[in-house]
Amino acid sequence: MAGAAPTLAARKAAVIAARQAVRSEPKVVRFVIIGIALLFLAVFLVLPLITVFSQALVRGIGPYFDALTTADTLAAIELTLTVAVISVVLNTLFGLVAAWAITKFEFPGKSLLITLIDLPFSVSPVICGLVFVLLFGSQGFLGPWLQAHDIKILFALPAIVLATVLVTFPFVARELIPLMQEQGTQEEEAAISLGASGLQTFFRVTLPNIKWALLYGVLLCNARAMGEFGAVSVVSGHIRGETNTMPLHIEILYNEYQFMASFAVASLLALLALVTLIAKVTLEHLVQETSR
Amino acid sequence: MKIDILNVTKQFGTFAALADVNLEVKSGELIALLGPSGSGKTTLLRIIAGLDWPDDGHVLFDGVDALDRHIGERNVGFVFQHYALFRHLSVFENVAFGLRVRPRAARLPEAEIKARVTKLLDLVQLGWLAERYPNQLSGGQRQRVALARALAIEPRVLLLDEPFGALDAKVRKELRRWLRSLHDEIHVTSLFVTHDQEEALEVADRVVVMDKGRIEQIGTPQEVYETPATAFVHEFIGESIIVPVAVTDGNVLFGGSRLKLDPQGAPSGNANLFVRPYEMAVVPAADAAFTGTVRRVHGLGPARRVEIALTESEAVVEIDTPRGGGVEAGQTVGLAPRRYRIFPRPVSA
Repeated sequence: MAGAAPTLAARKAAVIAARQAVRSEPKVVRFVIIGIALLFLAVFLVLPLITVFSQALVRGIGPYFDALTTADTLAAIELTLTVAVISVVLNTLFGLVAAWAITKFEFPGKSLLITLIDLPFSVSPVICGLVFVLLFGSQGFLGPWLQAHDIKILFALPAIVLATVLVTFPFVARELIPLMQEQGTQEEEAAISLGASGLQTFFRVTLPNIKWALLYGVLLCNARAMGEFGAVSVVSGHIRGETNTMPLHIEILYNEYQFMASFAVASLLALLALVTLIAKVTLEHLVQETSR
Repeated sequence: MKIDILNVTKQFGTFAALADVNLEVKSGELIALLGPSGSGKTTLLRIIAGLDWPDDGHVLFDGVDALDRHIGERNVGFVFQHYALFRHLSVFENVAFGLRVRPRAARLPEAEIKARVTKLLDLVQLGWLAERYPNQLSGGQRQRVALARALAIEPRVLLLDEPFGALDAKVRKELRRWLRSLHDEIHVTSLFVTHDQEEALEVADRVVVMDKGRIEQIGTPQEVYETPATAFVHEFIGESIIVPVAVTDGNVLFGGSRLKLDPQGAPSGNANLFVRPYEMAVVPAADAAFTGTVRRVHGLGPARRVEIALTESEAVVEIDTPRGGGVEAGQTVGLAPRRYRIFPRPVSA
């Protein structure tokens, strides 16, 4: 009796091991593949992050906060937040409207609209910025008229917002369109048939069905709006304390050899990226849980 | 409520979804719109509901023009093929939806909403699932929730789009019997769309058979089955033997010889003879309308199915004979239709 049990367990273990051997790659291959992936992660993600934070804190916590609280830096942070808030609000509205139009109605030129929404993804951000220079610049299409009426768009907040909105335009719409396409219009039709008004249908049926995708789109849109460099760089004019967003401010500090201050501001953006990442994972978790 | 549909026409591009449709639905009736896909039956239902608008024609609810009114004002209960339940709301809240979205002045107090929803859930036998969410229900349960939700607004007319289409065969049978008895209980004027003839014939008071945007026949299940008005109805409902014949001067010709059949008013030209498989009698070959060779005899139960290749043409017909009829493979037999219909053959077919 006592002798039989171990043999049975041993046999079981052998069978399991044999099965695993058939099912998976040799150990060496597994380790190499996983190792390469981890190495990549370390070199391209972890190492830069560590560098940013260590450089930022190289002279200790006091100077770090001093660097973050200079007038120019505070102005850059404020501008970035302002631009992000405006862009995110606008793009959430645009994205909702565009997704609604594309998924709930049939109209000519629909596929063209879908392609156009993707355009900012495929065009270099510098071009997105340049478009506004060509449009509003003193040599530009509307430039003379704007100057005559004393309206300042280029090298000021309006142009920065416009460029950011253009670059971040696809995020919300792209998240919503596939989901709303999949959900179709039947629930809305059901709501209307039960006597709900257009607004009631939107707030009681449509919005609850897309809230996670919408939040997800807003999150990505926000991250990109705060981090945008190329397009904003072209239209901002780099006026310190006035039209410098955080990414532009980081570049200027770096070019002036103020490495510590530069990395301090960069650490804020890096923190934002981390927060976005965590929020994204949490959201995905929540979505999975509620859709089960 | 009585519904009148007058000369309703609807085009989708060049496709005529509905061509001059006229229909009168009596108050309290249960009507089936039956037809193959693309026959316009769902379009007609959506027009009655107010989810679609006709290009021309009128829809009257109790004599009052309904087309002036938006779907929300028509007070119709619509049940969708794929249920269209609100996935983020519980069963209870789904049913309560129509009561909660009313304008504040017309809204019932919470206690009354609760009482009414509870009553409806009991009516569809789902009271015990009130707190569940749609994705936790089976297909049949979801369809019943959809029905309760539609009934919550006390609709004047209940419209069901392929209500059992997405269910498996067994549940479908149960649910359609249940729908029939529910209708007998609440007597709300109802129309449902289906492509399943069995369903239409079993459940409906009257069946509207549609094809290519037109109504082919309106009648009780018995009428459309036993006296089909057109070739389409004969072929679409029940089984048919179809034998191509010719009509000349009041005579029916088959393979050059005259049949002792009445052309039933079919004009001279090509025609089709329609016979139900069990209305074709096996008779001695000598005095039969048709002769043929028995190719195969099969089937269990009270009737046997016999495949017969007609002598005068290439057609093979399948008929039902009583068990022990003495028919065997290889035999030459005569066939005589007991009841039949003759319709002119369309030129294209």
